[in-house]
Amino acid sequence: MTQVTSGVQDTAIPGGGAGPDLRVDLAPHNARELILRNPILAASGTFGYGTEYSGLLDVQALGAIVSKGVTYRRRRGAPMPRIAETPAGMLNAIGLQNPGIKGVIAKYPPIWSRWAVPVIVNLAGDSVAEFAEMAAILDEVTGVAGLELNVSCPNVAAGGMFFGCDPDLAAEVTAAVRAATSLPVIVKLTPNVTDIVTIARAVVDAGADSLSLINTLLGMAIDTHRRRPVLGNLMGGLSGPATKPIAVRMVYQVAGAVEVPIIGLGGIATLEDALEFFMAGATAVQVGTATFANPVAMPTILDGLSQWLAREGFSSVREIIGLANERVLARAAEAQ
Amino acid sequence: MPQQFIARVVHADPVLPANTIVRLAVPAGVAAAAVPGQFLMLQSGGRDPLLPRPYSIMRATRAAREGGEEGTLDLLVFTGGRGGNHLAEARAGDPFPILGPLGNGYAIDGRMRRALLIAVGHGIAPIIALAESALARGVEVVMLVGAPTAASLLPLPLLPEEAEIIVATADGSRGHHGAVTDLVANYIEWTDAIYAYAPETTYVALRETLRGYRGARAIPPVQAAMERSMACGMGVCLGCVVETTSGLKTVCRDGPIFPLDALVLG
Repeated sequence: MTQVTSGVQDTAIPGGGAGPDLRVDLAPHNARELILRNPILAASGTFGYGTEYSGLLDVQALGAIVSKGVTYRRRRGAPMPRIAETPAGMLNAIGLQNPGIKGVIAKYPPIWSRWAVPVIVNLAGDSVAEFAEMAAILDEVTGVAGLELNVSCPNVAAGGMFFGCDPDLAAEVTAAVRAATSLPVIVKLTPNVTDIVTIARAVVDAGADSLSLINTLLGMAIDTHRRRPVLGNLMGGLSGPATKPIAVRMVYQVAGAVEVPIIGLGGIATLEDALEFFMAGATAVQVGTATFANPVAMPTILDGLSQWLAREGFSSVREIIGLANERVLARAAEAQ
Repeated sequence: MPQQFIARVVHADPVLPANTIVRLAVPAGVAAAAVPGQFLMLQSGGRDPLLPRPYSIMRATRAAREGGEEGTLDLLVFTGGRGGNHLAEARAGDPFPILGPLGNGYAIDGRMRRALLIAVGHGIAPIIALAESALARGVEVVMLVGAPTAASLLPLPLLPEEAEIIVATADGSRGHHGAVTDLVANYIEWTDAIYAYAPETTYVALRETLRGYRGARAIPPVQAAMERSMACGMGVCLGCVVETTSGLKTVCRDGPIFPLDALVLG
């Protein structure tokens, strides 16, 4: 079997243990490293700051946690109503309600620094300078393992998706953050673009260690009784199982075009869903909305993944990355 | 602390055209931990409908059973909505994944002797739980029960016998013709505390009534339940916030019970 990514050297990292090797490297070219014990991550905005679910599942057993989106100043967020259920999915327009970067730093990194699970902070700046400033502030904060740049939030008036829709702006944000910190930098891409591959190439060239995709799809629901949009923000981001085929397609396209690790997300609720993303070319996956529907979705997928790999004769999860993606397979064959 | 567990349906009794009382067998610890005003998130177990549904706990019991203890929780389920039917149509033994108990619940002061409970519509379910809990502590309970019509009232034998019950219907088909809040003034001097589970319009009227009180006694404190659409139930998604005098609070985790004084009502 072909090992299609080679970031994790089997001798370099302790903790493999019995059973299939689940470790993945999300920043193979970064000296500060972002090597995860397993490829199942909690997606931003669906797991708070990691503390909220601690009584319900073994948070430390996850691959990593991505924090709720953090802005420079505190934000009240969007008007109510903020959520609406849709067929096999949900719309949300929370509007990045958060206590601001100083509020987050005062409360959570001291907790995170005692954890085995790495915490990645999701940053949502409203200017290039603000992204860079927040990255610089977090550079030396103990307990922060990496950054995920939210250049793709559909629910805020200034910034957010604006940066993620233009390859030059997305690259500018990435380069500014890259210059401000040596932390591993993941850029989270929006699907609300004509050609996601162009954006992906631009941010990789600008220094992104890895990419996560997709953020939510801009959508809308109308309350026909009130004859008004359901959401206070009028539009919101669609997530959940309904989005999965789009996310798989985009992961497939991007993984075929760039060489950095891809973190796939969008509607993953089961092992089968996760396997689709790995085979499309994702090195790791994030689980988001599924946690609302079933708080133990992530540990269930993780257990299932380990058993599936063993049953199918794989010794490492890295062996299944891109199995359904000709370009990824061809690139791996070339590298050998 | 909430738990994730599988509940089994004991029985389901249709009590109204659009409401069924479902009794669930749950771990004894869950029933023991449940506080009136707390709720459960019933998960669909599938992709559509996707999100879990919140249900207030109407009654929690524990019973000795062979080899240990068993708990039950009663829920009042609305069968007209997307997501409620699968529960109302369940048969004895059917499993349902559940997260709970969630939220803060009503607080009962140990020195309280008299309590006025206000329930409008499906708010009757958690108010029954509260009434039974208060009565068990020797508190004298008056329940003001509001509904649009007599036909939409929960049958009164389902309400605790020891409580005094006063009914108000919007169309006058039973009890007082009008709103429950019309009746509150009679109890301001009698009660030590007011507990409510009602729409926000009721709270606005209640606040007006209390502000209009000119008597000598201190205005009794009010604990009021809020409702919002929810996704997570854990204070994480921030989909269910309400405005309070100390900023935005989540209904699912900071609430659903708030001091009426703290609520900024629209």
